[in-house]
Amino acid sequence: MPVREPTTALSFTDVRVQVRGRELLALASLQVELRAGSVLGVVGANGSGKTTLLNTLGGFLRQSSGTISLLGKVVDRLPPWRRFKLGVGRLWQDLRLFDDVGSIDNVALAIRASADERLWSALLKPKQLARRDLDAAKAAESVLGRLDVRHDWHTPVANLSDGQRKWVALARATAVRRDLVFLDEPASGLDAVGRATAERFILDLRGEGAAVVVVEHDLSFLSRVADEVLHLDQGTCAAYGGAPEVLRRLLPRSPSRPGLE
Amino acid sequence: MSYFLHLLILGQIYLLAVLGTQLLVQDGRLFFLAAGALFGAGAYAVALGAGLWGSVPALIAAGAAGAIVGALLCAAAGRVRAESFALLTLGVQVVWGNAANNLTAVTGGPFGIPGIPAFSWLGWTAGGLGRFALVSLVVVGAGALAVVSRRRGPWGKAARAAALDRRAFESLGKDPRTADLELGALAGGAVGVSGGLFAFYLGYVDAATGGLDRAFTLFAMAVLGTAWKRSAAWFGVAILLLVPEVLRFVRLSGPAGPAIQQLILGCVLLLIALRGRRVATR
Repeated sequence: MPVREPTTALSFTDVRVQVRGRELLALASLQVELRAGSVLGVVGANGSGKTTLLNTLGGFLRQSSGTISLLGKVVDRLPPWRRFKLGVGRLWQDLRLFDDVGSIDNVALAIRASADERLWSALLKPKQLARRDLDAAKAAESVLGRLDVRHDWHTPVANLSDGQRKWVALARATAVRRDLVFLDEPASGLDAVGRATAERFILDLRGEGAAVVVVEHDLSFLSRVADEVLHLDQGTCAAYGGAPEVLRRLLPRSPSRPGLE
Repeated sequence: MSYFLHLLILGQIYLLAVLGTQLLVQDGRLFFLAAGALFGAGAYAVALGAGLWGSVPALIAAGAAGAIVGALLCAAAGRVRAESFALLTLGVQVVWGNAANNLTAVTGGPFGIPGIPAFSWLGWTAGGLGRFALVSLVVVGAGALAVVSRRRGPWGKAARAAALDRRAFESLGKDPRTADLELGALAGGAVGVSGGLFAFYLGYVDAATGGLDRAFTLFAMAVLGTAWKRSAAWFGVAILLLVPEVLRFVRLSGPAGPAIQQLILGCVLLLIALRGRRVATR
């Protein structure tokens, strides 16, 4: 895969999120800039606002103030699907797979162009569409094969183990070229081998020039993949900086702070 | 023979309407209670347009009318909660029935619109039952093929994904509102065309054509079919169309007939609930 140009992939400034008068995120005077080909780790105890931050960046929660820019475009007014269409991928904490269908259909959905899913295309160009649908399925097989996903790809994903489901979700999130990827707890629920694979997966994404935001409780995992770390505490920024500095402060304390490890 | 042709025609017309309703209830996971309005929109389009434009344009107008109503209703699917959507469609269905009864200048009010010309095309008129059965076979066949093949293709897969998990769908860079609109349009189009055929068949349309009873019948047929076997529209049509006829043969079509029919329907719905199939669960 060609390496991307090193530019700012993600920036957000002074982001605050209020829902029904309750402040969920208050990152006032915090400016984060993530360049292409780098990894931002987001840590914090449960309920500290990590997933809320990802939801806000993706447009599922609207910020009450502040500015968000994804891949060079200010997206404050864009709905989620338009933000992700810019070249953003996401692994959800709860995976959000389409349970009734197999791994191939889950991944092919990410690969298939939206234009091929329009009703007018279906009515006017059924043969072309059938051919492209087969191509999407083949591409999905290739993505799953590359990730070494070995289970039956046609089994409805509801019947897969948590680990298998995680890989299908990762494959779906990155099935097509993504310049910015949000990964919500990519290592949770995986065994040691799975964690090592997840680590290599993130480093490969970085190596290809993608910017990656990783929300993770496992600090040692983050220490191996992240360039920068944002530490959230009750919706506010407790620390932000280079991964070694921020994690050095957190790691020794982690045994007494189970929420972080 | 005429009796069986009558049943065949009704079965065909309902089959297309139920295929459309199933798109909403099963693929769209919507608790959609306004299928009667879509059916009625198609029926009135034919009643008002057949004499002016001819049969085929009127039938196309029936599909378009259903598609517009369906798309408008489904546009609301992403904006309201599931239970609110059920109430919204129920409300629209009630208002529709009321309007059809009271807008006498357009709909003929309680007297309806009689005298709809028989279906004709290029000088050929479907005057008798046999000829109309042929017309409905062709129209329903083409409509069913269009719906079923779209359902199985990329469009159907995307529509189901959008209904199953809107956020996941959006995180793939896909627009769920367009998916909802198109789902409503195709489903509404199918139900509208079947309503149009119904109007041609009876030669008469009134408020009951697209009324609340029709809405419940179509919803029940769609749920029955879905619950029996995925996409088995024919099952719901067969049960709800044949039960009254069987009751008639066993001489239970008197005062006890409707009660027994409802009892059977209730039992079937209970069985469905026990089988645990998921429909209208958005």
